[in-house]
Amino acid sequence: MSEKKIQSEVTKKDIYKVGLRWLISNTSAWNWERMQNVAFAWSMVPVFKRTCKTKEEMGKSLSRHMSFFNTEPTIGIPIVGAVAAMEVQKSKGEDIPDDVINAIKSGLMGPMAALGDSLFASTGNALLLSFGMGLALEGNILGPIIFMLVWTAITICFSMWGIQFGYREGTRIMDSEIFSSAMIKKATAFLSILGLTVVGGLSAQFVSLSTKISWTNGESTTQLQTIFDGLMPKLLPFAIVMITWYLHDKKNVSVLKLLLLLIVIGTVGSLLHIF
Amino acid sequence: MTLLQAVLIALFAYLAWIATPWLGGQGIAYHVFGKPLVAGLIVGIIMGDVVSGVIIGATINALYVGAVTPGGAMSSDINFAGYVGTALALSTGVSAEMAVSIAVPLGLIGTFVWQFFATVNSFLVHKTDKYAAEGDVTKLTFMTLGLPQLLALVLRFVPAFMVLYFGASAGQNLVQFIPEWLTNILTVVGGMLPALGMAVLLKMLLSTRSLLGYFLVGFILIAALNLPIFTVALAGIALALISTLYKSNDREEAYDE
Repeated sequence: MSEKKIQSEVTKKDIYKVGLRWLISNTSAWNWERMQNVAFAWSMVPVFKRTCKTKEEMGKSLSRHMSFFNTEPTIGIPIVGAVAAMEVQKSKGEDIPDDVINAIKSGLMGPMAALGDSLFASTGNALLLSFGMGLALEGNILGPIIFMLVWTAITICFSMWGIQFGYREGTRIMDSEIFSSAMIKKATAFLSILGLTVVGGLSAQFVSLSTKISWTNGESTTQLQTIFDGLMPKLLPFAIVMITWYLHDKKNVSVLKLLLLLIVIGTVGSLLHIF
Repeated sequence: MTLLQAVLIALFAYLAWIATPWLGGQGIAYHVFGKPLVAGLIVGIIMGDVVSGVIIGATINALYVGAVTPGGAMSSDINFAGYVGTALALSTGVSAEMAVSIAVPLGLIGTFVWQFFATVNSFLVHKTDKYAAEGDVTKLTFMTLGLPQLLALVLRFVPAFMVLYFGASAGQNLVQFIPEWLTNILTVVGGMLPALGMAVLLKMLLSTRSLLGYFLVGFILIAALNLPIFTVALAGIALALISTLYKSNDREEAYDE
C-alpha cells in the first residue's frame, strides 16, 4: 500500500455527509443508557474513513464516540462538526486528548439542548405550526403545506450551515460569539414575547368551553354564559388555560395528571349539565 | 376503510415517527411529517377528503402544539394520535372535537411503544459497542439504521394497521349507537384538552410572571376582535421589537452617563 492512499484529506463534501448522517440518524438507535451515542459514532464514519489507517484505529475512533450524548439534534449539529474538526487535527498529530473531546461534547450538549428545545423545537416550531393551524382551521389546505415547506427548508439549511460552522470553529466553538449569553438572552426575550402573544391567540382559537347554567326569575330566563360574554368573550377558555398553566408551572402537576383532571372536570361538568 | 388505505396510513405512522430516518430523521420526520396538522393533509389525501382531514388534523394538533421531547421523555405520541386519530375520525364521520377525544388514548398507547423501543435499544447498544470497537463499519450501520428500524417498523406499522383496519369498521357501527350524553362529554372534553398544550407552552415561555401580559393581549386580539392568527403574530413581533429595543436603548444610555 502506498503512503498517499492511506491518509487523505477530509473534504467539505465529507463534512456534509457527516451532517446528513446526523440529520437522519440522531434518534434512530436512541436508548435510555447513552441516548444518541450510536448515531454520533455512525455520523463520524466519513471522517474516520479518511483519518484511520487500520481497522484497529477505526475501532478506537468509533469507540471514543460510543459514550453518552444527548442534545437537541438540529441546534446541536455544530457540536458534531466541531468534533469532526478535532478528530482531523488529532489524526494530523496534534495533541488533543480524549478528555478534551469529551469535555467539549458534554459541555455543549446541555446548553444546546436547552436552547434548541425552548426556542427552536418548541417556540419556533409552534409559531409556524400555529400559523398553519390557523389557516387549516378555516379549511385552507395551504396551512399544512406552508408549514411543511418552510420548516423542512429551515431544518435542512440550518443543519448544513451548522455542520460546516462547527467544523470551521473546531475547538474554538466553546467561546464562539454565537453562543455568547448576551445574544442568546436577546433572542430568548424576543421569541418569548412573540411566542406568548401567539399562544394567547391560539388559546382563544382552539380552547372551547361554555356553560349551560341558567336560571328563571319570574318570566325572564338568564343565561350565565350571556353574562360571561358581556364581561369578555371566551372567559371560560381563558380561565381553564390559566388554571392548567398554574397547576403545571407553579404546583408542578404532571401533564398526565392534568390530562386526567381535565377529562374528569369535562365529564362531570357535562353530566351535571354545567357545560 | 379499504385495506390499501389502512396499509398506507399505517406506513406513514411508521415513516413519520421520531426514530425513523427515511423522511429526514427527527428534525423533519418528527417535526414536520409527524405533526397532526400534516398528518391531517396526508390522511385526507389517502382517504379522499382533504379539507375535512386538514381541519381535524389542525384541531388534534392544538392539543399537542407545546409538545417537545426534552431528554426524550414523550408525554404523548403525537404522530400516532395524528395519523390514526384523523383516519378514525374521517371514517366514522365524527366532529373535530370528538376526534381530539379519540386521539388522546391513541397518543398514550404510542408512548409505550417509544418506551419499549428505547428499552430494547438499551440492550442492543452493548452489541454495538463490540462492533464499534472492532472497527466494523458495515455492522455499525446495521445497528444504527438496520436492526432498530426493523423493530420500529413492526412496533409502529402493526398497531396502527390493526386499529385502522379493524377499529374503523367497528367504530362506524359504534358511532351510530353513541348516546347523546356521551357525545356531549366527548365534545366538552375535546374542547377543553387543548388548554393543556397551551399550558405546557406557557410554562416554557414564561420566565417572569409579568410576561403574562403579552399572552393576554394575544388572547384578546382573537377572542374579542377575531383577528387572523397571522395578524396576531405581527402584533407579537411589534411588541417584541418594542420591548427588546427599549431595553437595549436603556443600556446604551446607562453607558453614556
